[in-house]
Amino acid sequence: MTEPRGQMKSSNATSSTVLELQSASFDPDVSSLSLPPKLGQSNFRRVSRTEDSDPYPIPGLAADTLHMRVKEGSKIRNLLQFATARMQGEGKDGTSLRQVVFTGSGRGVTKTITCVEILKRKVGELHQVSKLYYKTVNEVWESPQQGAPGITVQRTVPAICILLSKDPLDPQEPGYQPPQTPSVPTEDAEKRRALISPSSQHTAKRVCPDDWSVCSPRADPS
Amino acid sequence: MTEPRNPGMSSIPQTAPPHTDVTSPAVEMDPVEYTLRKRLPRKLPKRRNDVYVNMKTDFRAQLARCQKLLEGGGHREICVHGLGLAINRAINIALQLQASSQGALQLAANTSTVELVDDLEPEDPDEAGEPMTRTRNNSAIHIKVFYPDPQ
Repeated sequence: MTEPRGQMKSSNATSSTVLELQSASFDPDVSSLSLPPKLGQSNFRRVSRTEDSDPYPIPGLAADTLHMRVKEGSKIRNLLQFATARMQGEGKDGTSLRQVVFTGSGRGVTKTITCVEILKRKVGELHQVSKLYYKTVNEVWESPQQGAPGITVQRTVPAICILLSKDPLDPQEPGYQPPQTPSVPTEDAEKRRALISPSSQHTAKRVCPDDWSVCSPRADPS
Repeated sequence: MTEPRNPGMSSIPQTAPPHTDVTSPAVEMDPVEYTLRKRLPRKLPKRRNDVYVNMKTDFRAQLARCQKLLEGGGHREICVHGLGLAINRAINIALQLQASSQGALQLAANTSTVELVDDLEPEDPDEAGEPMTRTRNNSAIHIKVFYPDPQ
């Protein structure tokens, strides 16, 4: 089995450091956005982190497609306010977009999917194609000791790229999802609508008494 | 996702899978205090080639299980499911399978929303009202890992 994570491209580092680094990044599932614990202990400091700008993994995208880059700390509300305004034609120029792409990597992947799921419910009738890939991130680590050589770490993080389109997409494309039919059972749809709008989302999270009365009949299925 | 074969899992709601969008309930549930119990996701439809990824089992064990299904189990395709925090791991497993197949395997990812139910149980049964539930949503991913038909 190949270990795609934490491949070392170390130039001047001492061999002991290399070993340490490798063991630190060995577990392929350690979230790579957090500091490797052993790196932190050995007082290395990350000086820079650059991501390669990979081309879209989805073929045949229009050049003017809106690209939402979802980061770990991005606020879902901010992302969605912007994206829905553009998709629903409430932008400054008044034209509505046909397609939007969401990308996220590492810990931002879950958030990316959440954004997409909410936008699909909000806008409706959106065709979807999801693609998975590894994103390469270059990190330069520096030792605080004077004269100690720096280390370049190249690691790969899992990433997702999701295209939402008002226009039909190729159903044969791997990762294609047709639009969700709006004929959801009314109770479900009601609940979803309540979760979508930002104001009621707040109250939904607070569990207002109205919610309880709705939910309590379903409390005990047994 | 919780390992579906885990014995006795249905009787222990505390072992619910990790959730990413946990709202801090204790703060918002004034004035009475409640304990939050996460129920397990509603259903786990499971074919032989469905793999539910969780955050408890060792990563390599889950990867090995998928490889076994594809190589030894004779399945042309398997479906890797991940919920919430386990999405990352599910993607990782799928990409690893693809990478180690030298291009023989393809991935097709779908996303969905899963409704989760939390039980709110009052700390003090005398003061509080009846137990309540609350639903929330979490994101999920379903990755089909398959050998494409030779055409």
